[in-house]
Amino acid sequence: MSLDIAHRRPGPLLPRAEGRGFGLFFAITLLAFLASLAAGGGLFGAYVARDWLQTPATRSATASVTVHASGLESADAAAARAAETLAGLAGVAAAEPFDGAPATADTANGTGSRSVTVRFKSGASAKTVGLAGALGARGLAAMVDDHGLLTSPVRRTVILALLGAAGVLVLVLVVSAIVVALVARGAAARGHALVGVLRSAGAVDGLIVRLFRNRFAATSAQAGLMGALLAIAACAVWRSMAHGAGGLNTDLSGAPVILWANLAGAAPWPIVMALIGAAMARGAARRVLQRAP
Amino acid sequence: MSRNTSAQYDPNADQAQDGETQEIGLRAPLPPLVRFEAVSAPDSGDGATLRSLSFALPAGSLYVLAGKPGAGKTRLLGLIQSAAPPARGRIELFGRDVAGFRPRDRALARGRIGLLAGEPRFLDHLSVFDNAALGPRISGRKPEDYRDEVAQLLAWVGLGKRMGDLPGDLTAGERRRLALGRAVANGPDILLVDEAADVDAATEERILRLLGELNRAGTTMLIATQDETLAPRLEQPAMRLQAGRLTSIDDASPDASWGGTP
Repeated sequence: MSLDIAHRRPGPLLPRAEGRGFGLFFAITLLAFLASLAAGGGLFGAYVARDWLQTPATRSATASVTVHASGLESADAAAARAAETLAGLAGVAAAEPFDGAPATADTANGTGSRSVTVRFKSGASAKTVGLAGALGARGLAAMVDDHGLLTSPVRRTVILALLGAAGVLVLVLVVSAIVVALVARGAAARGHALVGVLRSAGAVDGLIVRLFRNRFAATSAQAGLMGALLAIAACAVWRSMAHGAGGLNTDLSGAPVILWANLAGAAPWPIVMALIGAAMARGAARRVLQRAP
Repeated sequence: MSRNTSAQYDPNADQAQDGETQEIGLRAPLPPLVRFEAVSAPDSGDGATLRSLSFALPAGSLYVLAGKPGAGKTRLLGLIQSAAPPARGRIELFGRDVAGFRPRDRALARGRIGLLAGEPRFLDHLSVFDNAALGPRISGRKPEDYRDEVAQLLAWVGLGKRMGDLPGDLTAGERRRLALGRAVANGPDILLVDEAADVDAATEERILRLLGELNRAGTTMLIATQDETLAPRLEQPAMRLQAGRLTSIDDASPDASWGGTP
């Protein structure tokens, strides 16, 4: 076969198919997809938890006290007395009638109720401070709603969810590293003849290692990008189904709104996968070269 | 090879320069390109153990390394080509002890040594042209700087019309000639030639003629063969290897260049 040598580029030193097998690409794509979802989910969970925990009604270091009027004392007066009493307790940072909640029903003497918001100092809670006891000692009819009791399970759930997401990410990293290392080691071992040819042509081992490293980094980056894009697409479909105009399923109307910003969780995975691919292929190629004569 | 820019490949184009080198050598002899001092190497899996070999290859010389199968000829060529220190003894390449080579030095030394292996391996996914151009390419030269030379080289070995083929499409003889082209593409100072088992006599004669041209151009050569008649036919000195030991070494003639006709 004749060859137009003036207008041709040299072929790749590594066979084109080496390090580009469907199995490796599929595995890295799947892992990047899972990692993107886990990272995005982690970000989303953290955002929701922070948003929820920081609303006044759900602050963990707060309590709501519903003070009932009694006798000749109005609800407002009882609430003011309760606030004064609670503010004097050790462990309470502030206690004041909740401005946003007007006294219920009848504010006349002896009827109705009014809320008092209590903020605790660090480490204190309604139970440790003894809100109910203090109020009872002052003859106030009150009901204490400790927000800490409500937020603790939420906190635990959020922490578990974040740990779960982190666990998935670590698992994905480890599995990715193992997959790439195994494939790269196989490729380098299969390339025994190639290594011999390149060495006898004057190639230093660093050049041979770079060939494998660059090939696997490129494949891993492409597969990582594919996985990240698939994850973004899946989230977009979810968002569209749950909250898009005329959402497909009303049962999903209560589903959390995925923020586009949370999709940033997918952004690093092409790079992370490329780095894993490069590091594992480099190590595998070096080990094979060390054993080669 | 890299110094040859003529339209047609001609190894003798370097002769004037090498002639100058030899003339300088008469006044102040250059160190041998290869020197073995009591070199021993254990069996590396091919059943050949080398025992206390001592010899030197002067620049521009050609030696025939004769010995029966299993005598250690291929092992000896591999030891030179690897530019790696032996288990025992001392090897000098280009005037330097290989034990002091850093990886980069070793790679550079390998780039100055061409090996025509008995069973050459190629990068089967690359064309004949790209395989022949491996040396210049790996040494960092740009394609536009070496492609004409490589094309001339392939024409010289008779593969000018097969440059776009894959090595797997070539006959055994053509692969042998491609291996020769690849071995000399970087203009090596030393060419090591191992005998081929499955090549016809006509191809081997053609290879020997090409090797003669290269030696006349100044390339130092060591040709391994089990043919005891080769050295007399080529009128070249021989080293004889038997069970890993050198049993005799002829003296190289002073001008030490190809004088025979294959």
